Order: sequence, then structure tokens, then C-alpha cells
Amino acid sequence: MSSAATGTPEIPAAGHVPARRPADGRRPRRGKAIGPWWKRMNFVGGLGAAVWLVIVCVPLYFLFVPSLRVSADYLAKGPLSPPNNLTVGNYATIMRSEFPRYFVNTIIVTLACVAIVLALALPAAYAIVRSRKKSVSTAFSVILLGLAVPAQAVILPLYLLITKAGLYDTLLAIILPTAALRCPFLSSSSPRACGTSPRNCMRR
Amino acid sequence: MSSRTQSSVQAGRPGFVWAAPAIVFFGVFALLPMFVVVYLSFTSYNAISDPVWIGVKNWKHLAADPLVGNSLRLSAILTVLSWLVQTAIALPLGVYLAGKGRTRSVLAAALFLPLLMSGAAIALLWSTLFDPNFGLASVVGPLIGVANGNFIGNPSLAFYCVLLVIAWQFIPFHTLLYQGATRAIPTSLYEAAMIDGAERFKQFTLITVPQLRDTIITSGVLMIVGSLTYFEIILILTGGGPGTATRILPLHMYITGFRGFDMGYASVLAVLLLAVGTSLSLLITKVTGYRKMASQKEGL
Repeated sequence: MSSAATGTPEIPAAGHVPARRPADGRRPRRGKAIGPWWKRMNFVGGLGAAVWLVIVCVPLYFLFVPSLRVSADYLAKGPLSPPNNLTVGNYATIMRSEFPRYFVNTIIVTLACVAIVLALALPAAYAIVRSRKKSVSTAFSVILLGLAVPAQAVILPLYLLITKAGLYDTLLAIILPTAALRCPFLSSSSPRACGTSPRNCMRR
Repeated sequence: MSSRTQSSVQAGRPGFVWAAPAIVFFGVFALLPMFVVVYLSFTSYNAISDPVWIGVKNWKHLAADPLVGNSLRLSAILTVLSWLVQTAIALPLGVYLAGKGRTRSVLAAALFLPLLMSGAAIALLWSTLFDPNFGLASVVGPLIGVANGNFIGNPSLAFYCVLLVIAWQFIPFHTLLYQGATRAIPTSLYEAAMIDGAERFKQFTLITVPQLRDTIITSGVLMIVGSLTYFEIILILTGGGPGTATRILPLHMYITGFRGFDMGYASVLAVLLLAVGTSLSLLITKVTGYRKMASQKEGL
């Protein structure tokens, strides 16, 4: 590598190897580059992250701040006008509407989906990583197929199945298919997480 | 391998029983519908009365539908561009956020905020931003050469609006994947690189990116397969318009099935979607070895 000459002086013998701490007793910091601050700072990365921060935050501003304004004020003065006469009236309005019911529905669906997926996919993921059986790896291939299947491709038959099962217009009609289509995702992403824990820790 | 060594390898390891409940549940709500949709594609079905078998009539209609080619083309372009744009932003961002320091943690917390929002909410938010009369677009448009601020109503710009909103929604998730994966890279590799005098950029290209290989594949599969299913965002943002400028395949299927109540023909489109999506991701997993999921670090 090119920098044998320039690089070496920047690496003091101590500071990186925790066993040999420098004389002044400063804790060596892991992962910190050594050198003057302008070399330690990642300007390119920081700049890029800042740009993306703006792109993320501008819409979020327009999500939150106009919720505290009356529409007439917003529409008359334009989107960039500074908010004055802040009000929580909009929130009061939605609380008087059907919103609380929708919110409870959402919570029921969420909790049910999470419970089902965790209960089913975690054991499956465990088996996928630790088992050496052919049947399990076949099962994994089938589950991976689910990762490949676009959920939209099955909404038409799901509609038929759900109406035939008499579940149309119930929360179960949302919960069951959603949870089923989420299972492959967890079972295929958690093996990596499980797999990285040393097997020694899990010896029976 | 003889059966005796097979069983000693398997000793104390979990069997098929652990995976069975997930398989059964998944089978009923995901695999069974895949077969039903093939059946439905040979029927006439209006969502109210029962499906009636009509043979290959729907499939003949497929050849005559000019919107299919268009929606396939749009889906393909959207998939490729989404993958490029999202990877190009999420990978470096994830690597940057994996570093230590208070600034980065605060930044990460802010950047992951879109993860908390549902696709529908994001689409509604952006459709107010893109509103040519009252939205941010009315202010920004004139500054960048779109005098009337009408991005979303312009057939050549609407597609890029969709691309932007999709990137906005999904980049935080992929950034999170990359951040986690970068943190899992052993620091000893970087220490060795520093002793060798590798600068930051070299460390990035020679250590970080190769070590992230698995994550690049995982996130790529998710992006590519996911982009075939982008749906609610486009439905709410543009409804497939203006004209058919953003009517990608799943949206074409939805509009045919649930707006036109021609569920038979919509099932043909669904089968097409199924075939494209499944073969694409099988191809990717075959080429990249994504399936070799068994632990690589058991010996550590």
C-alpha cells in the first residue's frame, strides 16, 4: 500500500491496543482515528448525511407544524409562512370524530400481528439456523418464496378466501394475511442475527 | 454422508416441528392464494357472484391490452432506479451512522423517523407537499424550472416524484440494515488496515464494502422484490396518472380488479406479477447464494 511512509507515523504504538495504555492514563478510544481533527472528521460523510437530514426533515416539518395551524391561515399565506396563532383545535376535531375507534383498531391489528409473527417465525428461524435436516431447509426455501411473492399478487384470491370464510369486514381479515406475509421476513432476517451468536453459548 | 454421522450432526439440534406452525400458517394465507389466483385467472369474477369458468378468454385479453407492456416497462424502470438510488444513499449513510459520536446518534434518530410512518401516511404527506397550489411544490417549482409547480400532474415528472417518495420511505430501513451490519464488522480489520496505512476511503472500499456483501444482497433482494409491490404510495400520490404515466403492474392489477370489478382479468395480471416477482428473486438468490443462511460464525 502506498502510505507506508505517511501512514506509519500517525499510528503510535499505544492508543490502539487496549493492553498497553498510554502513560497519561487516558482511556484509549476504540474506533477513533488518530491524527489532527481535520483528518479525524469525516467531512464527506457528514455533508452527505446533512443533505439527507434536510430531505427527511422538511416533509416532517410539513407534517407537524400545519397540524397546529388553521387551514385558512396556511392557505392564505403559503406553505413557507411562519406559523402564528398556533392552535390545537385540529387535534380536538379528530378526537371528536371516529378517530379513537380507528386508533384502537390499529392497536389491535398491530399487537395481534406482532404476537402471531413472533410466536411462529422465531421458532422457525431458530430451526433454520441450527437444524441440519433436509426438511427444514426445504421449508426455508418455501418460506423464502414468500419473500419473493409480491403481496399484491395474492390480494384478489385473499379477498375471495376471506369472503368465503365469512371474515369480510372484520379485523381478522387484516390480521391473518398481514401476519402470514410477514412471517418470511422475520424468519429469513433473524437467522443472520441468530447465526452470529457463537454456537458455544447455546450448547445444550 | 452416512446416516449415522447425519444423526450425530443432527443430535441436539431443532427439528422440523419448530418450523411447522409457521409453514402451515404461511401456507394457508400465502401459498394457497397463489394457487387460487391461477384458478381465478380462468374465470369471470366480479367480486359479488361466484367465479364462473371461462377458459383462456382472460389470457387472450392480456395480449390485446396495451397497458400491460407499459406497466411492465414502468415497473422495470422503477425497480432498477429504486435499487440504484436507494443503495447509493443507504449504504454510505449506514456506514457513516455506524461510527461513534453523539452527533451521529442524534442524526441517526432523526433520519430513522420515516420508519415510524406507514406508506399511506407518507403518500398523503407528500401529496400535500406536491400540491401545485398550496404545497411546497408551488414555492420550489419556480426555483428549479417548473413554473407552475405542478410536478405531480406532469407526465414526465410524476414518475420521478414517485421515485423520490419511495426512496424517502425505504432508505431509512436500508440505512438501518447497513448500520447494523457495519457495526458487526470486527474492529481488528480496521486496526490492521490502519497499521497498513489505509486511509478512510480505502478502508471503505477495501474492508467495509466487501464485509457488507451479505447485507448488500439482502437489502438488494428486498428492494428489487419490494419495488414490484410499491402500490399504496402510487395509488394515493398519483392514482397511476397522469394518464398512465405511473401505472405500474400492481396498480394496473388493482385498478382492473377493484375499480373495474374485472377480477378474472386482474388475476391474469396477478399471475404475471407473481411469475415476474418470484422468478426475479429466485434468480437473485441463485446467483448471489443468499440461501446459504446457516451460521458462518459458529466456530468463533
